[in-house]
Amino acid sequence: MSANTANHVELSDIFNEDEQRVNWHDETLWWIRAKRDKAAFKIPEWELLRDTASQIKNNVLSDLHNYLIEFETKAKSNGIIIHWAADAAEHNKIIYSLLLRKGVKQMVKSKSMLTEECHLNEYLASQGIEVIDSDLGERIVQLAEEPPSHIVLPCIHKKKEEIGEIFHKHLGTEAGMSDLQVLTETARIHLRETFLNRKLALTGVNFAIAETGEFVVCTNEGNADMGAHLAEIHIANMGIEKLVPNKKQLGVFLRLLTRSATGQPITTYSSHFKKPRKGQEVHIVLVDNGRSVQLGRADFRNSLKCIRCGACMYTCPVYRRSGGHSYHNAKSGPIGAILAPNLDMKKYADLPFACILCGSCTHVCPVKIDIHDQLYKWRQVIVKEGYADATKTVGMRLMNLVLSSPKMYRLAGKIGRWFIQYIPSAVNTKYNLWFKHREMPAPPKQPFRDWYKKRHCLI
Amino acid sequence: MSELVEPFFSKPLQLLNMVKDIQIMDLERPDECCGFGGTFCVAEEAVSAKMGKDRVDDHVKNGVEYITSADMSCLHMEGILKRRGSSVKVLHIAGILNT
Repeated sequence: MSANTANHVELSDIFNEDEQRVNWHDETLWWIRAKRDKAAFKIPEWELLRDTASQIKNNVLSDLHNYLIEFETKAKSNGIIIHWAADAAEHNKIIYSLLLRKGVKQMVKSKSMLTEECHLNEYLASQGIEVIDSDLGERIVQLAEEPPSHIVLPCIHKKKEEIGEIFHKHLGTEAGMSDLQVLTETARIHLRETFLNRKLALTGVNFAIAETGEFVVCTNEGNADMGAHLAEIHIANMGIEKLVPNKKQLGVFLRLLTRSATGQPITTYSSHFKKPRKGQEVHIVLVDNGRSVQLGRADFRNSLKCIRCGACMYTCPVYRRSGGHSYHNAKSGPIGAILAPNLDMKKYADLPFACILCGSCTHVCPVKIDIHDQLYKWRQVIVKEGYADATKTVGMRLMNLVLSSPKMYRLAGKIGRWFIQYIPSAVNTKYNLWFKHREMPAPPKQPFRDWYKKRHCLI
Repeated sequence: MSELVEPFFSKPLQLLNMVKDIQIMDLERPDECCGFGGTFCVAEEAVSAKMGKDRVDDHVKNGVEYITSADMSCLHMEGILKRRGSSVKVLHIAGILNT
């Protein structure tokens, strides 16, 4: 199946062929949801925190232009070099030009979903640059030549035995080794060498503070710090929406981020980068890539509040049973489904429909994005633009015909009940998708309407 | 809405607690979605069926004799239970409140 025809239905069909694995995937991710719940319930003012973070982000989005200018001015006065990239291609070119200028052929990268969005690794590889992902999960999927499946836990879809195999193939561990301590030690040694040798480090940005021009990078592994402190050039890339107005407000987000992401009170490292150290260059690349378009969509601009915690993914019952890869996008799950159609409505038309609108995502979102409302609204847009599945469009039109006319509805009910009762083989076939895993509902003795009328002496 | 740090409240539960001689059992995942969804039940059939299966398993595991719901999900779960020949029955909440 080519990437162009990838859609969630087909991919999740394949994912569900191995039921044991689906159970394992579902339970693993639910376990993180349980940890998040434990952490959130320890804070009585949790809902107030969410509301505060939401309002701060609303404020940022309402005045993004000025906050960006403030940030740029402050950062420059601190000695940081600022670059602006309108889209993914420009982002990639800017980073490549910095590498070229210094004659650097190898780069170490800490986690940045933005680089996935811009397909930086592939671009740099085509230019002969070697990129090593220093986040352990990202390194594993990099060695496995797969995209990450979750924005915070990139290789959550891999069992430790599978990781052992990858390490055996690429890092020389024993075949069949799956001891966590040994695997971690191997990864440490392998990555240490990378950190010591690479002149250029790329990190993402979790939060950028407009008031002071500094940026904050949160990691559990310290890999961003390792890379940045040992490199001569530190490039930080960020989406333009990642701003926070001032330092005092950062605390609200730091309290929410990791509790939402993994159930920890905070990441091991929350590092502030403000001024380059002597002899070091620090560059920030600010990227638009469709964000300003999304900002212009009144129904969907709230999605830009996202702080990339990943909670919406592990809480989503559909995500847990279909896996990040079935969204065929680096940003998967509920947040991916409301961000991706903005970039390419045709390619990602299937995503807002991979959802039962249960609203769990909205309830866990630390910045109160109305995710399930936006999923519903995207469906309207996608259908209007003509990207809905053809079968579904016909099916919905038929349903509309039946449901908008009481006579048609009663007739359809009568026909349906007759078939189920007298010619069940007509409906109990493999062509009836309902019938694949469920029995048809038993036809009632009489329709509810007739029962109600009789009961209330209306007949 | 077990995600929210708020006092627990469920209207259907409040109503059921007013019915004599029934015992409400606790589930492992109190408000996980059953996966019916509407057209989702056939549009994303694999995931829908799996969600329904898991939801039903949660009930069966916890000694439930009757599953009830306040929407059309009862059809979906009943379909799954009947397919595996289970003795667990499904009732729409209106059916219980109407007794």
